[in-house]
Parts: sequence; structure tokens; C-alpha cells
Amino acid sequence: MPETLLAVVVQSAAAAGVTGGLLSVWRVKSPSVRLRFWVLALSLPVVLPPLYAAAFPVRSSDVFRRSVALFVASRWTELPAGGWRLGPALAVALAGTGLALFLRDLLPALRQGWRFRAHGTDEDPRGREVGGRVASHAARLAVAPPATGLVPDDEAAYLYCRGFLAPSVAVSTGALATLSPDELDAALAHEVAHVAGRHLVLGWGLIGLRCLLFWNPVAQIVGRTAVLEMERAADAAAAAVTGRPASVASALAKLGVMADDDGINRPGGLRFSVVKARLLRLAEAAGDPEPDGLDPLRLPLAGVAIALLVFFVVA
Amino acid sequence: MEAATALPSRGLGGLVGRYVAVVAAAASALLVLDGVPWLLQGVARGVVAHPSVEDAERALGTTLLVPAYFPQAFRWPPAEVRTVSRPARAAAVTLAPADPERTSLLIVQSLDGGAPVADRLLPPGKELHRVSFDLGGQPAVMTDVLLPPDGTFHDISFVADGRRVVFRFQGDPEEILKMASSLGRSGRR
Repeated sequence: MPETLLAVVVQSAAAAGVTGGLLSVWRVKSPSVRLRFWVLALSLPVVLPPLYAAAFPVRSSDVFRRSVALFVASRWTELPAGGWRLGPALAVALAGTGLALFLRDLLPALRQGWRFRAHGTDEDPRGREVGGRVASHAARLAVAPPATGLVPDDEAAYLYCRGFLAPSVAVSTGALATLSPDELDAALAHEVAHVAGRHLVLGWGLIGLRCLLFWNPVAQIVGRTAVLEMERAADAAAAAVTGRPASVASALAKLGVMADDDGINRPGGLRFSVVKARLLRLAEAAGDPEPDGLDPLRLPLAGVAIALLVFFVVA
Repeated sequence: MEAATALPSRGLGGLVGRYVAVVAAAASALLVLDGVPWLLQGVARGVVAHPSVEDAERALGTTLLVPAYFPQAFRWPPAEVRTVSRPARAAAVTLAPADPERTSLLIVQSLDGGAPVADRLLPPGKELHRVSFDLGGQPAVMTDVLLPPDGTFHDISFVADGRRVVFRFQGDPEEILKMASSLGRSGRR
């Protein structure tokens, strides 16, 4: 059992490493494309090992393990450690780290879901303005306009997008007071971009995978990276739709500062390091390399690389 | 139109070249990570240490040759059992001396025909002297080998049951020759 756990973690690490390396050397900048790579890196180590086990029983043979495999997990787990084997301690350490990373993201999300309740916008002129802006962005992004809501919270500035098949966008009254009209417009465009990019469905999928792999610290990190790429994709789309990247950056900075004040990772608000990374990405966007016509090849090649590496990592 | 749809060959070469480099780097990193346990255990890469002869036999899928004659000078079970699977399967059994003043006996055997035994199990030394002789009807060779800093060892090399077998030891060869003559498949110990 410890060797199986270690093998899956190393498979995830190999997938993450090769994905990060390829994104770097190929200079893939588009967040929506990068997102696909990270989703591949997260999902293939889950999907492939059972298929390999069924199709290639030779992977469990001694000859394969001794002479062909790139990494054999049992060599680590069977290492002696003070009269015991290293395996159980390694398994506990990995699973504990994975669970901590998982809960670090899940618990705030659960708290927010309980705490933040949006009200309808029809009776509030500010809410009607929000609804109008959201509908306008939705039309530009060719998506049905999501429902909108106001959260009566003057203390904090945040926006969020929720739902699965029927998404909704909500804004705190604190955000309405804090953001300038251009910044609010950019922030709303960002939320609508999540709807247009089907990020909510993908987000639930990512949560499901992370829940399944709660014991795998590498999968948790890759999952977080994928979520960050979703945010960057929405930033880029908002910048394109509004034509004002500076407003997106400015809104991000304000929302980030507000969210950091009480340490809560609110919907729409992120930790400073994340905000900084997104701001840098927005600043870099103008320097994207010209398309070279090879984009359709990159993702399948990355998939093949991950599949190969996962194949040669055994328990 | 044709120029617009064709893949740019130079760009494709760069893309594939970088791809190969990244995949090779990832595979190398896995190999390095895989080698760490060997490093921690102090054995050469590819050498597997086993807790017993039986465990080595299970791993190799065959029985090992062990002496039926076993003098009081050495202790059983073996102090060390190591195997390799490449380029050819081989096993090394180290028997600790009963007298701490004496040195261990190393019995090494190749399992895939009479191929030479891997250096990782039988470190090569400077050959000082060689003599051929008859070992129970089988041609055998005894070689004196200098292995600094431990000194000179005797290697008795012969083929038994289709396997190349080497006994490496120091001191009087009389008991060792009796052990070598009694070599057979494991099971009687």
C-alpha cells in the first residue's frame, strides 16, 4: 500500500514536471491553453494506471521492475528506518501533506459558501447597474447572461461567480463602494469570463479530482495551479472584452488588498502572492509570442510524454 | 494558401527538440530518484540487497547453488545476499567468518550460462598468479588477485550446473575447495 501511494505521487510529480518544463520551453503564455495542460497533468496520472494495469500486466513483473522501470516505489518504501521500513512513515507524511493542502483550500470555500448570501438586484439601482454590465459582457462573450446578486457587506470588497449549470455573479456592497466604475466593469467582465469559459464546471471537476486525490500533495499543487490559470484566463478575457487591462490590474490589486486584511481567501479576492502573479501575467500579456501554427501539436505531445513517464513508474 | 497551411519545419524541429530534451530530463530525474535508495544502502546501482537466500531466489525466479559441505569456519545464514539482473543475472552470497580475525568468503554465481560475473558483485583486481586444476572432474582455475587495500585474495573459478561460479577468499584453500566440490542447488542447509 505505501508503495502504491508513493508510485502515484511520483507519477503526478513526473506529469507536473514534464508539463511545467514543456510550458516553459515552448513559451506557452495563453492561460486558457496552459489550463488545458495542467488539467491533463492532473487527470492522466489518475486515468492511466488502471488502464496500464489491465493492458500491460508485464509492468508488475520482476524483469520490468528491475530492468525497464524508471522508478520503482518499493525501493524507497522498503528502505530500513530504525528497525522499521520507511514505507509507512513516508505514506503518512505524504498523505498528511496532501490532506493539509486540500483542506487549506476547501475549508475557506466552505466557510464562504455558508457566510456569503447574495440578494436579488432588481429592487436596488446599484444592483440593476451591475445586472446591466453583466448582461453587456455576456453578450460580448457570446454567453447567456448569468443571474446577478448583491451581498450586503460594506466591510469587504469581493465578487464571485457560483453555480454549476445555472451560474450567478454576486458583488459585495463593499466592492461597489471601493471600485471605480472602470474597475467594477473589469471585475464583472472577469466573472462573466468564468461563465463563458465554463470554468465553474471545470472548477467542480477539479474539486472532485482533488477530493479523490486528497492524499496526493503533488495533485493538490497541480490543482491549485490549474485554478490560478483559470483566474488568469478570466483576467485576460476581461482585459480583451473591456479593452482596459489597467482597470483589470487595478481592480485585482484593490480586491487583493481588501481580502488580505482579515486573512480570508474570499471569492473574488486572493492572497497577495496570487494577485501579484496575476498582475505580472497581465503585464506580460503584450509580449506573447506570435502563433506559429504548431499549437494543435503541443497538447497531444504533452499527453504522450505524461503517458510514457507514468508507464515507467511502478509500485 | 499552401504556404499558410504548411507546418513551419524549422519551428517543428525546435518544438520536437525541446520536447525530447524536457522528456529526457524528466526521465533522468526519475532515474536519479530511483537510484537514491541504492546510494543510501551503500550498494552499486542495479545491485539489490536481499534479507535471505530464499528472498533472492524468489526475486530471481531460480534456486541458487550453495555448498553442501559447510565448515565451522563460516557462519550461516549469509551476512549478505546481493543480486543483479543486468547485463546477466548473478548472485553473490557473503559468509561471515566464525573467527573475527579471519576474512569473509564470497560466493558469486552467474545464472544465465557461463557468462562472466558482473564487476558490481565481484570487484576486479590485479591478477598476480593463475593455475588450472581439476575440481571433482571439472576444469577450474585458481587466481591470486590483488585488491588494495584489503590485500591478496584467491579466486577459484569453475562452471557448475551450467553456471560460472567464483569463490573469493583469503587463507588456506583446502576447506574452500571441499566447499566448492560440494556445490549443489539450494535446499539442503
